[in-house]
Amino acid sequence: MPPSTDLLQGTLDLLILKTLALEPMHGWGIANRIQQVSKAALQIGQGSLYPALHRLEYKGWIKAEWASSENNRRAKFYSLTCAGKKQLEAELSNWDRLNTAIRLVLEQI
Amino acid sequence: MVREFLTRLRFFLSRKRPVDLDDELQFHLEQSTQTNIAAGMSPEEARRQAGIAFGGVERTREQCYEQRPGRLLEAVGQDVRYALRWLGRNPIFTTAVITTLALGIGATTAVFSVVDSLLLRPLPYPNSEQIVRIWNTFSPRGMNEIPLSEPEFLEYQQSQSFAHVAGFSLGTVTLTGTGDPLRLVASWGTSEFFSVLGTEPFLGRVFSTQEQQAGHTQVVVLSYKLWQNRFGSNPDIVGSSVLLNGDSSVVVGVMPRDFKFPSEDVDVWQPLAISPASSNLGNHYLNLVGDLKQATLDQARAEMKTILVRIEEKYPTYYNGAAGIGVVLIPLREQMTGSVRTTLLVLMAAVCFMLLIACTNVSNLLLAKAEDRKKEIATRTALGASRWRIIRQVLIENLLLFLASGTVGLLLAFFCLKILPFGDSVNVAQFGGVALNLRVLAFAAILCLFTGLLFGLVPALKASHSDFNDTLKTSGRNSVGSRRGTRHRSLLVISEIAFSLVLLAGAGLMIGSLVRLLGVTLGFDPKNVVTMRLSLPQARYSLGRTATFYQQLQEQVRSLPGVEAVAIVNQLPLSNTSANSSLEVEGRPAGTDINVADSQIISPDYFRAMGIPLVRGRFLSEADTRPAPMSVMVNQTLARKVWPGENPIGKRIRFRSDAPWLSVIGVVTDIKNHGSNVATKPEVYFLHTDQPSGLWADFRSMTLIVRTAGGPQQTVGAIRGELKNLDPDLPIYKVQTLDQIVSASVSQTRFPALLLSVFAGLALLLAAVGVYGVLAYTVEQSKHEIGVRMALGAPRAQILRLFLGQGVKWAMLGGGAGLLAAFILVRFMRSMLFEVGAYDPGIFASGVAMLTIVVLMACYLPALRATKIDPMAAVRSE
Repeated sequence: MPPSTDLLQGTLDLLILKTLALEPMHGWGIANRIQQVSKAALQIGQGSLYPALHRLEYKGWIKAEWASSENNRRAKFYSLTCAGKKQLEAELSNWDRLNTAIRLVLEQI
Repeated sequence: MVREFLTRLRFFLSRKRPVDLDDELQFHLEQSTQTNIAAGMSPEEARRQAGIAFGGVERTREQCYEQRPGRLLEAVGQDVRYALRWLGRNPIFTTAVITTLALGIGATTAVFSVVDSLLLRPLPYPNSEQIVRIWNTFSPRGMNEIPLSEPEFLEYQQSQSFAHVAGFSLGTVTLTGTGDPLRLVASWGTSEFFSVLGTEPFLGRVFSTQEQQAGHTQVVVLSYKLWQNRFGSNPDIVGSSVLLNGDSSVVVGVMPRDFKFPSEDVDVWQPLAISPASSNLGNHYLNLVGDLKQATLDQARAEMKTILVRIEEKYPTYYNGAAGIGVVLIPLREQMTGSVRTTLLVLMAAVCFMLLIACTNVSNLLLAKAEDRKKEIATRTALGASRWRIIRQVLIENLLLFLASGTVGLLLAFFCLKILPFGDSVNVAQFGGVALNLRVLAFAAILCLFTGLLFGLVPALKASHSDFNDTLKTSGRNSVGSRRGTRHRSLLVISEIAFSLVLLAGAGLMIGSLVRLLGVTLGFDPKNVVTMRLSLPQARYSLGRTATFYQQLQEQVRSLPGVEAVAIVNQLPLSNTSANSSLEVEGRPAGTDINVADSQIISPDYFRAMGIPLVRGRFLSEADTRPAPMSVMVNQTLARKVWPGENPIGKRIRFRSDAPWLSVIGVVTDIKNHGSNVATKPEVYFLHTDQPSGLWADFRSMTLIVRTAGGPQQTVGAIRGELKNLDPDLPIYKVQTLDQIVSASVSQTRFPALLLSVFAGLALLLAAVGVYGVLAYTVEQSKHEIGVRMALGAPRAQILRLFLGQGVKWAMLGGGAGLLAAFILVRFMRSMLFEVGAYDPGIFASGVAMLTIVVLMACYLPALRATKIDPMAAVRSE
């Protein structure tokens, strides 16, 4: 297993929101998706995943519903709310700005 | 934003079911297992690997829970609930803490509210900080505050340091024409009087400059109280006329409720007309008040001194180059608080000491409790409670205790203010009254929080600091005086003892002063004597008629049942007002030495009514009044001073060079005419007749003195009846027994003596409780050691000595520190003491003795309990 990269403070929220922008998903699915897409570079442990999900839910950016999973198990599906979509856009542009800034610094020096 | 808030609110109000989270996590685990199986693991191995990857479920659950909005609030709420439960489970502890603290906080708040209203709160006049009273002084006669004469006032008025300087006098008038005649306290002020104070009238206006001219002064401004009580708060009062001393005056205004200058009971203000050409230097009746105009007090003082020099130069014959005349400026507040200031500050310090003792006691209790809870806290720490969480828990408990005590304390303070006899020694109404205002409430709240944090934090930190490993292993075994905790507690006890000793010394000194003050021989017999004051209006009573009236009144009252003697006098002893005049002695050139005496105007029966014995010569009689008053009596002090070693009988004196000579026909014993704590002043007794014989005195205002066989108050009604027969329009006022007057005259000492004794008593009690508590706790903690010692053969007496010795050590250390502190602090009480040195060895010794006895008594019970310990049980109990 490749060593997991430490996530920048706040980036986990962004990753979750972005993942959920595609479709409603349960917790395990989210973790799995992030792991796959990042080619196993990002491994989200349940110890940080679930508190983050709850935090986002409390903030009203995502909402949760119980539904049947792909293998007919009862699972809690999270989906973006309207506020969540706006938040995602805000965080994406934030991230872009930060990214550009960091790259600029790294290239200059 | 709004939506986010609403979502938060929704979750805050309705919790998620914990089952939800469990199911969710379970699902995650199962999915992992499935994936592992799909990757080719055996089901057991798959589950094991999934579990390892998953990690601790509890931690996640806890963290998810902590994301909940309002989590901190909830945790604090939990702490509060837990604290309340815990306090409820320890009712004795809770009651002890709350009672102790409530006493401390209550007393401190009560005293502070008096300090606040007298010393801190601005006086109810707009310019109050600039207002200054102005007096002349004459040091050769020890006169500190001499009112001024009209020419002096006119000169001082020209000062540039003051925006305005006003003169005023106080007196009484009789209001008639609206129901029963009413005697009113009146103040006559010059044109600038209201400008100095800066207060706007509540209704109407104040005097105009025109009304200050002689002949135009028939206007009056009413006090709010009079307007309310006598005129039914009539809003149309301005413009109507009232009868004052039989003369009609137009009401021009009403002052606001809290305007009480120059005295608390003043009812009406009238203009005082002073002719700019006045040259009456002899009548010193004007009180001066001014408001500083951009000048410091020192600058004003310097300027007034130059004006005084100018006055002396302008009237050389009157001042006659007399050295020692000076002028003083006293800020209004200082003038009003006077000696009470020291008393209040001493009381405030005393009550703070008591609060410290109370807090120390409570801190001790909290420490002991924390010691008891070590195991509970250690267990909680072992289960993962953070240090902050434990400190918060203990701190919340302590704050709750202090808040509860604060509330009870405030109620107590409120109650205290209702029953304390402040009125006797402090004229609080003049300052707008004492009340629990916002500032006092804030003071109490800060006191509460501050003491709560300070005295609650140390035990909280101590509690959280404990090494739980250690605590859980040892079971609190202890030996006598070996632990750090014990040293901390000993320190607290020692400081309590020290504070108590300071209070005991202070109270002792005050009580000593009071006892000596009460033991002073007054020189007259105040039992069964009632007095009342009368003022005859000048308009209807000539001097001749006045004399007849008083003679008739005395005859009528003398015939009442139960009356033994009746007399009149212009000023009662101890009344703080006296007219003194300089007198000329026959055969000695004027100006050789200055003889000043109080001149008392009396009727012949005065000495019998007051119970003042004769020393030599004879008493005055009715016969001495005809054809003209030729005879006077003097007191021993005067006889000794003016005619040392000579027989004063037959010697002659006079009050003015143009007045007839008066011969001394008798000498009476000295009485304490100016108060128990003031040396007797020379006194001349002059008969009340229709001829003033050179005396500046008001023959119309007299005090009636009636000595009865018993129950003097009961004759007052009958006396009123007799008066009504003589003149239905005359009010009587200041109805007091002589006992009441004597008692009021020592209230300046009695009040602080009483309060300090109460504080000292409470302090001593609290210290005793503290000593008892700490020693009892030590005994409890060292049961095991005591058991071992006894098992090894230590006699019970030795155990008793061990613990009593501890008490003696505390008493010595605390007593020593207390003596040191007392020696430093009692100096500030010097002005309050009477015939007692600030370092009176007897009082200090009895304070130390009392303290030692109380400490030993408090130690005896726990020490005795230590000797009763069954060694077998104690050793086996672990």
